[in-house]
Formats: sequence, C-alpha cells, structure tokens
Amino acid sequence: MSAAARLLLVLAAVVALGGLPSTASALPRMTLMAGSRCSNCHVNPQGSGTRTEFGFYSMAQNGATTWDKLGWQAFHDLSDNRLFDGRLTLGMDLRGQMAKFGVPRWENGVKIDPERQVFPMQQNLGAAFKVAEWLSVAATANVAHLFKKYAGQTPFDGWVRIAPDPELPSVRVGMIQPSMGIRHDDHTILLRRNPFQPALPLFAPNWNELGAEVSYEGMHWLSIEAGAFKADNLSKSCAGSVKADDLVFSGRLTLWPQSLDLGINTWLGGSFLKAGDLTVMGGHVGMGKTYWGSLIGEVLITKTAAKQEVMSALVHAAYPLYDWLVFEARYERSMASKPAGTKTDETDMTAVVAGVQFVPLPNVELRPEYRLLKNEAWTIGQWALQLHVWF
Amino acid sequence: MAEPLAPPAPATQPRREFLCKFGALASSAALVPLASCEVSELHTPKPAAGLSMNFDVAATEFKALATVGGKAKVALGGQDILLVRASQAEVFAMINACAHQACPLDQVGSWSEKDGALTCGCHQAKFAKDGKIVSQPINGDKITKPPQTFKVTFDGNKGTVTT
Repeated sequence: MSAAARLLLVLAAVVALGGLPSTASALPRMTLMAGSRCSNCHVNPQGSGTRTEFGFYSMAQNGATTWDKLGWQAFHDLSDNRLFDGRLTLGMDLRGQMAKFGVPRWENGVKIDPERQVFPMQQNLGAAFKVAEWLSVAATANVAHLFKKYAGQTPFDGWVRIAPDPELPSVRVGMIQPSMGIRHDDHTILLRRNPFQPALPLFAPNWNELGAEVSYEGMHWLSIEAGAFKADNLSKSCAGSVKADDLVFSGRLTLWPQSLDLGINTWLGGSFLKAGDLTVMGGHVGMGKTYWGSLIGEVLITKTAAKQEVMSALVHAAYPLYDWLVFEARYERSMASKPAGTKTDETDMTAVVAGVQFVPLPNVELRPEYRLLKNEAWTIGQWALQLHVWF
Repeated sequence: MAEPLAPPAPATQPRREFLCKFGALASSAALVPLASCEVSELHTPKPAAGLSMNFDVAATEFKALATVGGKAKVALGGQDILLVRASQAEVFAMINACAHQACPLDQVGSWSEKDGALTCGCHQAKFAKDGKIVSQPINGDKITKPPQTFKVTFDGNKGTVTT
C-alpha cells in the first residue's frame, strides 16, 4: 500500500469517528514552553490552525516513535507543508472525541444520566497563500460543522492580511475571531460560558465575525490587537444581550517579558470586548520555562443584559515529561449572579480537568482526560478520550 | 520579535522505544481506574408529585405572565418549573430545563404564539406547549424524550400549576 493510500486510510478512520462541536483547541501553553509567539508557528497570529513552515517543522519528528520505524518512510521524510516555492501553505486538523454530553437531571421522577458519545470535534482543512511579501490570504473550513455545531460557531474563517514590515502593525480583514483574553477554542472551557446556561457558550469555539483587526508585534516585549466586527454570530450565542446589527469592538494588550538566558517566558495582559449590552473585561498571565513547563492564569468578567454578571477564573499547569508526553491540569471556577424580582439568583460552578497529551507518532495525538464539573444542582465526573491528527 | 528557539533533539532510540511501550501500557491501565471514578450525582431531592402552587399575574414575581410570551419560574416539589403565557387565555408549564442539554428555559427560551412553539436559545430546539418536539436542535443532536409538562388551570389572571 502506498504512503498516500495509508494516509487516506488514517484520515478516513478519523473522519469516521463522527462529529460534534468543533474545537480548534489552541494550545496557549506552547508559547510559554517554546518561547515564541503564536504567529511563529501558526498562520493565524492568534494561534491554532494551519502551521507555518517553522510550526510544521518543529513538530514533524515529535513522537514516542517515528513513522520510519514503522516502515512509512514517506511520512517520515515530510519536512515541509508548503508548495510553489513556499507561497502556498497547507494545513489540516482532524479531531474526534469520546465523552459524555450533558448533565444528570430528574425526569418524571427518574434520574437521567448523560450518555457517552463518539463524535468528531472538528475536521479542518486550511490553506494560506503568500501573494507578496506584504500580502497574504488564508482560510480554514471545518467540515464537522455540517454535522453539529454550537450556536454562534462558524464553519470557516478566512482573511486577507497586509503586513508591510514585521516591525509595523499588520491588518487582517475577513472572518476573524476578535482577540479577547487567551484563545482556547475548547468547548470544555468553563471560562467562556455562563454557569446559568452551561450548555451554551457565551463565545462559541471557532467563533468568528466579519470585520477587521490591527495587530502590532513590532517589539519583542509587546503585542497589541484592536478590531471592529459585525455581531451576527455573537448575537446567536449571546441572544438577549447582543443583536445581529450591533458591532463588536475588541482590544487586547500583552506584555511578553522573557529571559533567553534563563529560558523563562512570561506574558501579562488585559483585554476588553464590547457588543450591545455585553461587556467583557479580562486579564491573563502566564509563565513558562522552555521545555520544562508552564502555568497560566486567566480571569474574565462578563456583564450581560438585565444586570447579569459572570466572573470566571482559570488556572492551567502543564509539564512535559517529554515533548510527546505532556501532563496537564486545569482548575476553573465561574460565579454568576442576576436580579430575580426582589432577590438575586446566584450560581457557582467548578471544573477540574486532568489529562495527558500523548503523541505516539508525529502528528498523531491521544488525549485521555478526567473531567469533573459541579454546581449546586449536580456533579458529573467522567473520563474522555480525544484523538487528534494534524498536518 | 523574539527569536524562536530551535526544537529539541530527538530522544535516543532505546529510551524512546521503552517509553513508547510503557506509555501505551500506562495509558491503557489508567483508563480502568478512571472509568471507575466516574461520578453522576444530583444534589436536589427527587421531585415530589401531586403538589400544587397558585400564581397571580398581579403579583410581582409573576407579572411577566401578564403578556403573551412572558415567562416565570417556580420551584415546586424540588424542581424548577417554567410557566409561559401561551395566549390571552392560556398558561402552560414544563420543566425548566431543555430536553436537549438542560439549558434553563426561563433564561434562553422564547415563545412564539404564531408558531405555537417554545424555542431554546442554546441550540434552537423547539417544543409545543404539550412538550411535543417541534424541531430538533441545530447542532445535529436528536432529542428522543420530550420535556416533562405539568397541568395548569388559568382564568386569565390567576392559576394553579400541579406536579
């Protein structure tokens, strides 16, 4: 069987896992462990999705074993994801998951438990084309969106990027996720949900809006993003607070103190988003030592219509025993309140997730996780397994 | 812009092979205790049946029911119940949790008298006032069990809901 046929078989197996909520699952810890910006490894300066030449190369041989040991030399020899003298960059992210969806509940006096499902989280195909040194276009389509999706989730993103010089601001115009806090794109993240309605993320994974964003990464210790967008998709996940004809304004500033001598990488920043009656303020901080580990903290304070307030916090730690075996854990807590007549309704939700990112072969990852989620009404703890194949 | 650091050198072959086998074994073994650690608990008591509660649209907590489409939430017999003003003459009641993923319908539900359906804002599942599933969620899931509904009597101003 040829290498291409084998690759197709692997891809077909992953696609056959079936699909749900698309999540690109950006890995913000990578910047802290690698000591570089998201834009060094990804076409999207926010991270996640199609890899740059460096991003592809840096992971091409990362695995507990390598393809050549299995006799698949053609895979092993792949060292570039670009064509046409580097002008065209190709990318692919396929993820499937096995997990329980929903929460336990009473129904007609009987306790109903959520059922375990196998579903495709995302089937992303991406490409970027460098028209000129200062002009590029990029797009990603998520096929899994045809099967299942969150309200406000978009099936694709895409933009034109004008970047005249690395030391000058760049502009992206198109379907873009407004920069706010840390980009996780993980539907299990509590931080971007409202504990009063946990099944509906306030900000859907792979949420994008039509608009423009200016980014500045000209100094190694500073990055700034500011954008204005339509609110078509946010109005679906934040119905009641945001209308489709509202505008989204977002801004984020991050400081990147770094000691190359010590291998210490940090970031510290804040962000702001306003759309209709929705206001979000965030703070994020991270510290990592190159190839040693990372610690991330993030806080988001969200105010929606009818004086509803949500305050959420996240702490995430990761430790790579090897590049292909990373232990990680996160703790999240989300507290919300809203006026209810003469009283105030309050809720408090906690999430604890611990897992391993195991890369048995380059570009293939298995991620077993244990997830505990609880509030005043219920507690659910479950194991889940993700399979990720990328190019 | 900080210079990106070079990727690390690959591990040596014997260690890699050993750890690969060890990792696969350990991952498989870890799933066994993880599976036994699964938890699914409800912290609210089993809902009681045969309980009744009166409501009056003149009261502050039920004033939303004065207009068609208005909603109110009551706690009765250990469960949250959603009251919806379906028309000038009718109020209906169903469990305040979408039958899809338990989104709170008092927050995200919207009633359309024209369509005769309550839409859950989470994934746009639609339910008739008798709980019948009018539309499945847009995310591709399929709801098989309709939401629980409750008996309501209503005279245009005052009413009673019974579990």
